[in-house]
Amino acid sequence: MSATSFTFEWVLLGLVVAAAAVYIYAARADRPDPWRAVSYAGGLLLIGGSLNSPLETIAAKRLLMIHLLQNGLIADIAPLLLLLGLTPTMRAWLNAHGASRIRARYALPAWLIAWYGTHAANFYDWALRSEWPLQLEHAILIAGGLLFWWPLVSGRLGTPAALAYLGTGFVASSFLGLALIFSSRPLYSFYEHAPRLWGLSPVRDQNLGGILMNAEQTLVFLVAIGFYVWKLLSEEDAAAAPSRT
Amino acid sequence: MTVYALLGLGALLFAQSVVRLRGRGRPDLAGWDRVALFAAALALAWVALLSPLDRVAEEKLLAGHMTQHVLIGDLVPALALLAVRGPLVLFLLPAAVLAPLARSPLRRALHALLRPKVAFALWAANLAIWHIPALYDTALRHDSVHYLEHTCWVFAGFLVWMLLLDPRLSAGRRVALAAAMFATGQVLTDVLVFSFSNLYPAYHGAYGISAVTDQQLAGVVMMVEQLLTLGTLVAVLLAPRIRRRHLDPVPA
Repeated sequence: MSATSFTFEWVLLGLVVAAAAVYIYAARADRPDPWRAVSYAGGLLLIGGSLNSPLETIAAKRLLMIHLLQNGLIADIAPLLLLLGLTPTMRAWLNAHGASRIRARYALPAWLIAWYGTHAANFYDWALRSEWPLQLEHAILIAGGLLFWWPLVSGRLGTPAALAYLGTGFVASSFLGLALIFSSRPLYSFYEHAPRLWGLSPVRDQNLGGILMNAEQTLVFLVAIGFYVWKLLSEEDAAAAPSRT
Repeated sequence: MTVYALLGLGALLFAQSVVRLRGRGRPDLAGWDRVALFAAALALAWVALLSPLDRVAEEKLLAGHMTQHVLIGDLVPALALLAVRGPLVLFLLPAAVLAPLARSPLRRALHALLRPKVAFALWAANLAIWHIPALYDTALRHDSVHYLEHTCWVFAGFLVWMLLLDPRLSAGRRVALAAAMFATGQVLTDVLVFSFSNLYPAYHGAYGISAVTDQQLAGVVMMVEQLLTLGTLVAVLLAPRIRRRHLDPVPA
């Protein structure tokens, strides 16, 4: 199979279409701001596009670094965009139907278990050798990402707690990328025997994968932390304003 | 020799300030916890500049040099300032020295430097400038430049930590400063960790560690140290607010 040919994850593609249909249906009663609609569409495009394109072919057949980039996109960025796309009414509906039970103290460990568990060598190699386990891996990553971002986007966490939550998540998730950057032997046997691209050795591919993963997470988390620091300052200014007048 | 003299002077000034403040009946403001913190700062300064780490930093490993820099530019200022915070700092210098200093332009200059934006800009510029490979190598070849480099680290470290530990600055502003420092440090960390070529030709690797791995380790050293120091500070600043929110939850 050529590296530029398309590969599909039919189940997840179906879920993306279903999620789009549900959003359009909900938006008829509760019209979202344009930026929310764009955010939701961006999240769906990231999932649908990265899992159903030549990127999927390269990720699943050739290079670990592309697979790790794909995982970062669907686990960190896409879930955040999807949740930001929900209107307050949509979030309230989800809260009324069980999402209010998602607490930060459970969401963070669940996300970390999903993150490290799906990247464990045995699971990763198993997932790559057939079609449905790979879709399961990606579904776990997307679900983990949705769980992780929900306490923040739903507004359940106050600003200081959100900063602590993000800081803990950033530190706790960074070890995987660092381990891949510093590894001197291939950790995933599947990619040792996969046909190579661009002259990358398995170890260099793995090191670059760690770099991509760490860079992506650093960017996402620093932007999120920056947002909450700005919010903290705004809250302090608002609290100080009455005492000044 | 100069470093020994400076460490000795620091110990002497701190000891006399503790004795004087205790003599005025305020041992609560000059307790043994403060002594332990200042001793830790001096010990870390010794480790950074006078122990075998200094030779490793100068001749063997960039990661060793980075360890030295984060010690003198971050941990030592943080611990020393924690030790002397509050009234104790006013007793550090004898009144005969302190009074003319308070009237001198030095005080106004320090006041100007201790604006958060100014202090942060100086700290970030110091970080960026001294990591330019050509300058880094020049510092390794010339002692005078190397002393200047270390002086800049210590100075920049004291400037930002004076603000980070200043209770007159709101918790939010201190968290913002810490976050800005971490984000800036992360840029350098990423350059070091994510590069596959040796940026500092003076280092060729040692002890079985290749030059590139050494460079990546240097980046990790900086990231871990910043996470520990700035992370601890942010946790201490945010903990009371998180507890308050738990006691008085806001409806979802």
